[in-house]
Amino acid sequence: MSITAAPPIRIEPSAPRLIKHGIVSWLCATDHKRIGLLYMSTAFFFFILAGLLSLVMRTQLAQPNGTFVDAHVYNQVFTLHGTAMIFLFVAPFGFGLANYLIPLQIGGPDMIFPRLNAVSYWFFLFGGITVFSGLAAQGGGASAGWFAYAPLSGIQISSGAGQDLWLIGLLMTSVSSIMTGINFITTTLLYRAPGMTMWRLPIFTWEMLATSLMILMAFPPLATCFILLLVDRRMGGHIYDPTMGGSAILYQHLFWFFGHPEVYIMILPYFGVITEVITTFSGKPTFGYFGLVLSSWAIATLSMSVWAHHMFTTGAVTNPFFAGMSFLIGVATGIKFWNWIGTMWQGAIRLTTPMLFALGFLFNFLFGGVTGMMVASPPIDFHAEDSYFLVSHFHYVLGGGSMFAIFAAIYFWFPKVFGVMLSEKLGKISFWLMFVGFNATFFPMIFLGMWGMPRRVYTYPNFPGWGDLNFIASAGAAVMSLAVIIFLVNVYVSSLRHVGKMADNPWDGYSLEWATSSPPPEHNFEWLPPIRSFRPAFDMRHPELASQAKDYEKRAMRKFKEGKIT
Amino acid sequence: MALAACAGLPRPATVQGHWMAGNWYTFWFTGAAIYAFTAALIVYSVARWRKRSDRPAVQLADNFLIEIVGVLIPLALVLGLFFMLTWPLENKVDRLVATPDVTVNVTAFRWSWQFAYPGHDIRILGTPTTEPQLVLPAGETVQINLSSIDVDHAFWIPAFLYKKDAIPGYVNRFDINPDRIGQYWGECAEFCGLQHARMHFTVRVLARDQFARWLASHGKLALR
Ligand SMILES: [Cu+2]
Repeated sequence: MSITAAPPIRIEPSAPRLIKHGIVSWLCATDHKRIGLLYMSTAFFFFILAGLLSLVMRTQLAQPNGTFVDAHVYNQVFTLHGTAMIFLFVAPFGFGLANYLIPLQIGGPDMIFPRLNAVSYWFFLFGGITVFSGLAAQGGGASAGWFAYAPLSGIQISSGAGQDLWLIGLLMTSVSSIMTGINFITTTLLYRAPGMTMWRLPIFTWEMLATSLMILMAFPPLATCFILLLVDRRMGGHIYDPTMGGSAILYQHLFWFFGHPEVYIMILPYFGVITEVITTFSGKPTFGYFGLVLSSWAIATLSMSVWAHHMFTTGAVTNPFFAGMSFLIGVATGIKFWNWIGTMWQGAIRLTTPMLFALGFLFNFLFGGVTGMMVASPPIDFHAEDSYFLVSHFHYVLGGGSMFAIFAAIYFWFPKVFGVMLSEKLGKISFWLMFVGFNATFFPMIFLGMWGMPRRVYTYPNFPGWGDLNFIASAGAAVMSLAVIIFLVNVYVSSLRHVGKMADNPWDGYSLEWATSSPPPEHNFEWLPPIRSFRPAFDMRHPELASQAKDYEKRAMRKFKEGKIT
Repeated sequence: MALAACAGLPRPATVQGHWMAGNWYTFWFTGAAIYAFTAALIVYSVARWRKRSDRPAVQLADNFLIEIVGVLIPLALVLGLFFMLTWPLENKVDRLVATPDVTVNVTAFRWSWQFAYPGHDIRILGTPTTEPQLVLPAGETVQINLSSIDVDHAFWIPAFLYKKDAIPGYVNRFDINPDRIGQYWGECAEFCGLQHARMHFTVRVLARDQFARWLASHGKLALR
């Protein structure tokens, strides 16, 4: 078996860190694993805050004409909930995960620009703090929504400093994201171990490459959009002011030119997570590797030409073009489902907690995808736009999709990162509570939207059925909170357990991070296994199956070169 | 009542609403079929291929034919939906007639609406606490000129299954043909600040002759 005969590649140990422990070692950390952990824990902290804000909303909306909070508070709460979930949790958690995983998956010692990486993190942290600090400003925090449409977010109407702090904070996170994107692309292209060809990259790393390119395309327009708004607000500009010849539509174009790629920036990393989890727990090679990679590039490309599907009701854009492009993204996503099912087919499926979360992702995201196809069609969107139908749709994608994938990722990589397994028993309880709670919250909203309940309302009249469905949604939110609490208990309890040395590869994973120790040493690898296929860790453990994978790769490469694989 | 509402959409009250409801349910049931098919495949694969013994997994990693089928079937489906339903319907809904029977200028402001009937000296102005009423004739073509004086709003009548944004500095024009006499509910759908949730209005669709009398009375005719 040639695959095991090759000698392992030795990694030369480099100079050790000067300060190894304590808070200072974290403040000056440039190691990608530490920055990844900082990113993920900070993002998770913002998730808890944003989750608490959603409980305020669900309490207020649990019954018609609610009086738990007033309109002023509610508007700040939903603005901050959306902002934190999107800019401070779902996207940055993916960056943290990628920070941790990309160098390990490609067999590199670190990110290629470690200091830039540290700068990215601190910009992200202080950006987030700046956004939240707006709550202390006179007149309260920003309350113009996470999209902050001008002229509503202009100085005449949103005169408080909260809106400025919101803009400045998000500008900082934009700069942070751009730096991170540059780092990911360069690292993936230039820091791969010998034998780790592009077509052997794990799917997660591929997804991050496509994500990073989208970051570079999407965040500069967002920064432009926000800087122009700051010019309007504080320097007497009239760029978005229609009374002085400016344009309110321009704001929407700039914002959504960022906003739609952003949606894929928030889901592509998690497509990667799901692929890794399903592949590992099916005991098979990823089915349709090329299909998965190419569909991500198709999504990344198409994502640049669908922004105006958020503007179907403005009457200012060519609806059919943007509808057609959005439909094509549905095809690219469909291929992924096809390949995930193909990966499970004839496998030996182990229903561990990460796998359960991955399956939860499949069912939820599928629902979000189907409703997404509906709202991509303008004659349907004319009714659904800005209603609870849309709230349900994008929560199925971002909550039922990305958030479930985040939990799958935490349970999956926790033993690698900390050398401790999370409790499977508590994990499964947490999963079922979250799955039931999630669907109880967001499924009724489909009907609320169809009946005519608009988004972003702090109260609603007592129409038949509205109170009942909203009450079910609020009860579901309580169940989801319980699931998160059980997760936190799980982390706490598991971290107390001392189980001796953790195995390198407790889940029988396939990619390179499973070939090093758990947790990995400072420079990631003492030695590297030979990389002869896209699953080096699996080949090392299962030499008897490796030849099949190798044959597969040769066959696939030949077909690809002959242009037979599209 | 609650049971009827459970069926889904409000009963459409315009010609365009009927078209769009039909289209909605076509997508709705197609989507349900896609969901059922895919979910069944997932459930089957998990149940059938769950690891119970040392049976090794089949190390199959690609199949060109399956891959192509997985691209072509969804592609055919979305192209079909797009070219046969979405695009033609969009054009039908957006069509404007040259000479509408009635024109109404709708102006959104924080936080209510003004409905003006040019040439008839009628101006209905609402506040967040007193909902204005938009009066329309059944069986005629109504053209709405929609704008805003301050921030973005959106004019939404759920029973018409239709909304359009009211954007400052910009007039949005669209036609509706109400076809069912009755009273409906309308609201602002684009977040516009503090009292966005209170930006309600009602819509009264009258028979053609009654509407003519209402116009002739400069909006003073009492409506039961
Ligand atoms: Cu409004």
